[in-house]
Amino acid sequence: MMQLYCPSCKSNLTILTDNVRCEKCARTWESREGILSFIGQDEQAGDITRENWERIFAAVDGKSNREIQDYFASSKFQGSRELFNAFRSNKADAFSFLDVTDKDVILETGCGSGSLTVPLAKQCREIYALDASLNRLILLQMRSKNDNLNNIISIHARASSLPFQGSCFDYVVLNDLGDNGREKDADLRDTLKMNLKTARELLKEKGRIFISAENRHGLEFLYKKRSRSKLYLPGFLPRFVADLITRKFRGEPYRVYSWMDYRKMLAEAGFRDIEFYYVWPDGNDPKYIFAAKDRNIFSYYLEHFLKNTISVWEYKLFRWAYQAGMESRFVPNFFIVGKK
Amino acid sequence: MIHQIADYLNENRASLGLPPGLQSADLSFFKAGGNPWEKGRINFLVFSKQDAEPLLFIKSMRGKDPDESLRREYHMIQKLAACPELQIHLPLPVQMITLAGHDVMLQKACHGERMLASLTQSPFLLFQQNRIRENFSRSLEFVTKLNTVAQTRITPDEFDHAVLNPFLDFYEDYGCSGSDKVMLSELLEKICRIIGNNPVCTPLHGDYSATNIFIDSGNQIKIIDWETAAENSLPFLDLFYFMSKYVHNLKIRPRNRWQRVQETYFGKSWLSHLIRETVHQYCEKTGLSRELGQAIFPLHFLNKARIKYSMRGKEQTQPWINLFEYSMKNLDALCF
Repeated sequence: MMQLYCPSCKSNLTILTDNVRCEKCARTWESREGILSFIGQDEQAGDITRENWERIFAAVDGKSNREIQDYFASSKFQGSRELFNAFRSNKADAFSFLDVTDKDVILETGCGSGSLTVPLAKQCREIYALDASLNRLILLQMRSKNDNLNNIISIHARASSLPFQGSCFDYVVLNDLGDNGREKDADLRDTLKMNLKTARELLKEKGRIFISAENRHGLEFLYKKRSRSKLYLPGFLPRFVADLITRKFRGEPYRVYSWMDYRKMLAEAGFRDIEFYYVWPDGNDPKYIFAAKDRNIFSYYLEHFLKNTISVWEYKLFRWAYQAGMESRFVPNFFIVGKK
Repeated sequence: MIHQIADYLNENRASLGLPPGLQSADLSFFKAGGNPWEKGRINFLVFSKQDAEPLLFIKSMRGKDPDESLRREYHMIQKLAACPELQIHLPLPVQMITLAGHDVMLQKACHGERMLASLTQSPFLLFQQNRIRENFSRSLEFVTKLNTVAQTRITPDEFDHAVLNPFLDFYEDYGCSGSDKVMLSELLEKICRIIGNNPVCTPLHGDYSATNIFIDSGNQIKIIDWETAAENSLPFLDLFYFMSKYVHNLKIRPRNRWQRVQETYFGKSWLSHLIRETVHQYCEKTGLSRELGQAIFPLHFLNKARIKYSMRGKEQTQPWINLFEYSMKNLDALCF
């Protein structure tokens, strides 16, 4: 485990038996359920209630990963499908396009219950898995213990206050970019920019950032599938209107960005060689992945795969967009990779 | 992983039939399916940057443990490729290698359209009848060859042990009732009686569906995805599965797919009639009896349940078990 630093003053932290201490700030952070916690209160992440978490832990304690998976498969509470899917290994398939080796150290923020963490841990030297939900981290810890993985270091923290300093990671993975480190009153775009800047600082010289993101203009978010905003239409409205509607109906800011937004934010944070990968059906279940620059593959995918699953008008729009060189505007999900 | 694959392709262009002068930098990769589990596969289609159609199809194992099923698939394709009649239907050449500890199988990519692409989204059967009839006939073309030219003769004991008993073992492990188990035993005995003292085994594709059949520009059919294939199995199974999955994939009424499959086999609709015709043609071409087909019929549902259970768990297997149990109990009402 690498040296940890105080999220506030960036002094060295002293690791004690069941807590860590910053001598300079005279602050102590407790270890909760064996996980170092830099957040006082646990955050309610996703749709799973506190009672359901209690039920989950009572049911899965001492069970194998297969049994835990079967439990989620047969459970009907809100969020159980998402937890079942977290046991899939294919979320990490995008890393086949990169060169992760057993020498690499990875930081993953918003790791949830480990859909990316566990398969990545099998490829790299060490992975620091951060999430604002302690319950998800506890579940991740159970999974990694069952898999005999001792290179996952779970940390209960927000992306906006990380206990790291200097260039120490080969990859920084940001899941759900719109959410990471979101402070309730902070300006969202500023938070994102700050997170990207921090991620860049933490990367080694040839390190890369990896982002899983939704496209605000993704065609299917128009009427078929709800984006992270949990509403249909906003992606096709001017941003300030989308924000107003999302605040009115969801009580939170509009958090989905477009291809151009992501490219601009990454470039502003200093990343270079920014590459987009198209992902279908979505970032949590990436059955199909290819680089956006390989336009011949997009055409093949459209004719041989997508055509059979979308409506005629969607197909025609994608066909037209492809001919106009604009398909990236309407693809619903991306993986984005940028070099330091 | 794709960097290692690209390097390998660069060094082995000729043996894989790749264009000379193609460099690894000219290749692009498309992750196309596979399965999501830890011990699953990641599939890639490999393109040359200029080409509209892929050059190769690659299956690589996600984990580093040697994978028996991938090796079995490779050996199966190699074995079938030895039959000239079947060779033209296979994605050849095929190679099996290990890269950075991962088992990888490389094969020529099929061009043309998947048969699945010819299925319409229309809820009206009337406008699809010709296409369905044509596709059933194309599927019969390959499956009759597979079930006749690659047969193996084995002893009745071996037949019992290697072909029939696994059905019973799986059903028992799955958690069947005592009476259902007895019913399956009786069905298997009936199959033994019909087959007699000289049992013949046939290879089984195991996932012979419109998704895995390509029709190329020369109107030749190519069969892909031999992942669930078995060397020694029963005839009829692939044909029945093709028809069941086809009906399952249609968008016609009833909307419940499982109910649609059941009503087709045990009803008197146009599709039931087509199934009867197709089974009769299969029997004529292979010389196998319709009575044997009837007895084997429920087992294709059980076989699918067995495959599904190993990959997806009980929840997704149950609809196939329901169809198996229903058909085992209603054999007299079958449409053929």
